[in-house]
Amino acid sequence: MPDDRLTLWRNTIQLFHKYNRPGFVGPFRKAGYRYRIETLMLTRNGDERTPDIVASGPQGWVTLELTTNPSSKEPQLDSYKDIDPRYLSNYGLEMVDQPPDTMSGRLSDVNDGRHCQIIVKDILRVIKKEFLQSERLRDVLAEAEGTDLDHLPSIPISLLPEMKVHEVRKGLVDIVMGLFAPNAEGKSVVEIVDEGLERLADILNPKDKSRLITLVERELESLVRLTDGYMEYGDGVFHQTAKWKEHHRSKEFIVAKLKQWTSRLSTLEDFPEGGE
Amino acid sequence: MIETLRDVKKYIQAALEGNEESLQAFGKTYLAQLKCYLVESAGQDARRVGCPSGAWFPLDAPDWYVNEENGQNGSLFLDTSQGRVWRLYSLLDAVESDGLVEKWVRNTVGLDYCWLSRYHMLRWEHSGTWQLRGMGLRFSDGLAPIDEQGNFSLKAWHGASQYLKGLQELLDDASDNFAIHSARWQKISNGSVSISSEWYSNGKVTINRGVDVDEVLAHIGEMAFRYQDALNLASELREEELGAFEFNFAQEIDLDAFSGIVARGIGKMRLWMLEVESEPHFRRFKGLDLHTWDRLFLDLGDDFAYLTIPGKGCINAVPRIAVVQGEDNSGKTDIFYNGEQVFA
Repeated sequence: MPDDRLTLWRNTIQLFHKYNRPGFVGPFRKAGYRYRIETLMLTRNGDERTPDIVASGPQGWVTLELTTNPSSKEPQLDSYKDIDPRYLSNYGLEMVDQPPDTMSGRLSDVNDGRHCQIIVKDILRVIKKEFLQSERLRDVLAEAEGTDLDHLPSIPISLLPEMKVHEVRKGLVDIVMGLFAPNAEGKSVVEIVDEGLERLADILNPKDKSRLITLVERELESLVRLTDGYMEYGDGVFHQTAKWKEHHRSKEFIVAKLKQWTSRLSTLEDFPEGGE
Repeated sequence: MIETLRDVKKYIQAALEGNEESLQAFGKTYLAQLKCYLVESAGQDARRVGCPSGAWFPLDAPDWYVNEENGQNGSLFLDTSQGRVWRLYSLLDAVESDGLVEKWVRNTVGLDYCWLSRYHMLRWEHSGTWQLRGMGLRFSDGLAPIDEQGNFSLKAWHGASQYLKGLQELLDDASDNFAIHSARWQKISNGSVSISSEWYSNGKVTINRGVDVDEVLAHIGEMAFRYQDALNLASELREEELGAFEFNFAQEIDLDAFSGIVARGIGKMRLWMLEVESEPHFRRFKGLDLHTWDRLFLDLGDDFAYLTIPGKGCINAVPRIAVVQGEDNSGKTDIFYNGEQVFA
């Protein structure tokens, strides 16, 4: 099963980067764009706008909305046209005094109206380039169409709002392994979610975060049952137990259990008292 | 008793001069040579992290310390003035010194060696006053089964190639394919050697010969400052954007063997990782760096890797993994960010 939301974010972000092997230059990188994520911008009327990605370069700037939601993002993208470009300098980005190019980033086609769209599932596709003002951006995106996006590097964020169960489980594995550090005191579910959200932790809206916390807590409870007494929940934290001794066999056991946990979706077996 | 920075310099100067005299007279040195260990400290306080031997006492100069144990002092001196990159000077013999420092770094949370890339170690290559006098190369073939490992370890000093036809070509080839573990340099001033130093990939330097203590401290400081600049740049890149650091390897990696080793958290790389996506020539791993128990993500191809350090993980992991993996299994390893070399 694909990692939808993380794949979307990863493959979009890496379009702003360059890697020597096996030879990849993201189109935004090629056009000289630098980016920031989850920025707070205002319109000239003082209305708040929070595009997922804002980027600017020598010949223009762009706002990107990333989504796996099947409904159209046209109204939101329309509203980004009113963003005052002077707020770009709050984020160390080049100020370009014109309305932004507006784009949606998706894993499959959805009609987002008169806005350019990049489909970043595995091969890059660019739709409705004609709505881009920046000729340079249009050209580099056209050149980049057909690029293989399957082997691009991970990004440091491992949890996102609206993730599905299998995505959440995969996003938690390294954080869970950290619970077995020497003298580790354990972590609350909020701390674990914040770690996974990384730089999004402080800016995510409370409702989305609360949903994610509930989901993560439930999934970690299922993991506790699977780890045969090496991990437990107590005093408000998930932590290692006295059964854990740092040894390569124990590490191998934990890795095997995590692999098992990430390979299967939540089932009734994970929740012996009846599930959600 | 050593109480001032001036005392420290006099002491080091005496050691340098003593070794110069015995070198001139007998062709070898008898006193322990000055060593310095570049230690990366994540905002630590010297008095709180403890001392490899005894306890730290401040000197008159800010951020300088001398160790004291059982009423004796003056075998170790610590300069923490740079903040992130400490310089630990030692006048103990190599075995004792290395052992104490290894234990101190390994057992103290927030301390790590400074891991020097080949470009750091070849820093003075184009300088008119410095000559490269030799290199140590290393390749452990750590991913192969023990009985099949193709270990390679070579130290070659300048001049050896004239005695064996083809040796220079072999050394050039080996240097292109394997990791540089050590590099020996000589500084020539007014026609004679003023410094002879051997740098190691874990940030240690041995001063084999030195004429002036201030010149020696400046030489060591140059490497320390360069390393700190590289760390600062890498930290900024990590904080501003979400790109990954890229390693390019000279050797191909056996991805199955890598996966098996990191699943158990064994081996010199000291990584404990779960393979989360798998293709024949590309794997994604998530897990921990057991030096610090920080999280990291590693995406591995046959001859390259992408390293992502989430959260507040220490950026020093970037050069560390490059150096350790290079010496263990990947050979010559270059580090890039957005296609440009870093830690260079």
